[in-house]
Amino acid sequence: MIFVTIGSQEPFDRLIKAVDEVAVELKDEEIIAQVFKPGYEVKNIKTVEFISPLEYNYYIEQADLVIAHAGMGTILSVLQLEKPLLVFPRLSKFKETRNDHQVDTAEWFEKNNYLYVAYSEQEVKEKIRSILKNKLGSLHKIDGNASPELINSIKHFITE
Amino acid sequence: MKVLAVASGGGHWVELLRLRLAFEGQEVIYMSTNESFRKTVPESEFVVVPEVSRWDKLKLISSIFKMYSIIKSLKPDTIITTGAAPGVLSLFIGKLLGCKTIWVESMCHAGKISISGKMAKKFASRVYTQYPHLATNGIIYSGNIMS
Repeated sequence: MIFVTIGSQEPFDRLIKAVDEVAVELKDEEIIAQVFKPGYEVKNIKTVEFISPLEYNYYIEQADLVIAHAGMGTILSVLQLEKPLLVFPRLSKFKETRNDHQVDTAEWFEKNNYLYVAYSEQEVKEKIRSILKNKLGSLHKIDGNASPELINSIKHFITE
Repeated sequence: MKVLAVASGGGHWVELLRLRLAFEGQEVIYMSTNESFRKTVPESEFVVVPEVSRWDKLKLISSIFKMYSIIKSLKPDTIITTGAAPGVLSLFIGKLLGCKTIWVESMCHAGKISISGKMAKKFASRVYTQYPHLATNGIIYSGNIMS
C-alpha cells in the first residue's frame, strides 16, 4: 500500500493530482491519500479526510511507501516507523504555504540522505516509478527522542 | 521546578514531545491548541488554548489575555516552546511573569531563522536553532530533535 499525506492545514492538489495520474500505471498498488479541503477530484485512488493520530500511524505502518508534503510532523513520524519516504515540498507561489521553508527542509533532508525528494509533479511520478521498480527502502531510522546534546543542554538550563 | 511546555499543532507538537527527556524530574504541564493532543501526554497535565495568528489582530488580543491568565495561575518556573505563534506569545507572557523562557526553533526552518524565532529572540532567555549554519552569538546550536 502507498500512503499519501499532506497534513491538515492547507490543501495540496498538485501532489494529489500527480499521484492520481501515476496511479493509472500502478494497478496492483492500493493507494490511500489523506487529503484536506481538496479542490481536485481524484479518479484512481482512495482518499480519507479528518483521520485521528492513531489512524494516521496505522496507515504509515501499513504502507510500503509514504508520499508527503515536506512537513516536519510527517517526516518525523515516517522516519520513526522506518518507511521509505518521498516528499514534495509545498510552494508559496501556488499558495500552498506562506513561504518556501519546505524547500529548505526537503533539501537538507535530501542532502543528508534521510529521504527522497521530488521538486516537480513530473519528478513525483518518476520517483514513485523508480522507488517501486527498484524496491527502494527506508534511507534512515530515528528513535523517539531528541539528540542527547539537545536534551542535556535544555535539562541543564532548566535546573541551573 | 515547574515546566510549561508549549507548541501548536502539526510538526511543532511532534517536536516538543521529542524533548520529553529534558523535563525528567520536573513537574511538566503541556499546552497546545488541539484538544485531541491530550491523549499523547496521559502522564501530565494538559491545557488547551485558542489558536493564535499574527494575521488576525483582534483574535490575537483576546488570546493574549486568555493565555496570560492561564499562565499566571499555573505559575511555571520555566516555559519552553517549539513554536509557532502561540509559543512566541507564551514566552512573552513568561518574560512578563519572570519565568525562564526557552525557544527551540522548529527543524522546519532549515534555510533561515523564522519570523517567530526572531521575535522570540528579543525576549527569550535562551534560543536554540537545530542547524549549525544558523547559529549566531545569541542563537545556540546543540544538536536537534532527532537522534
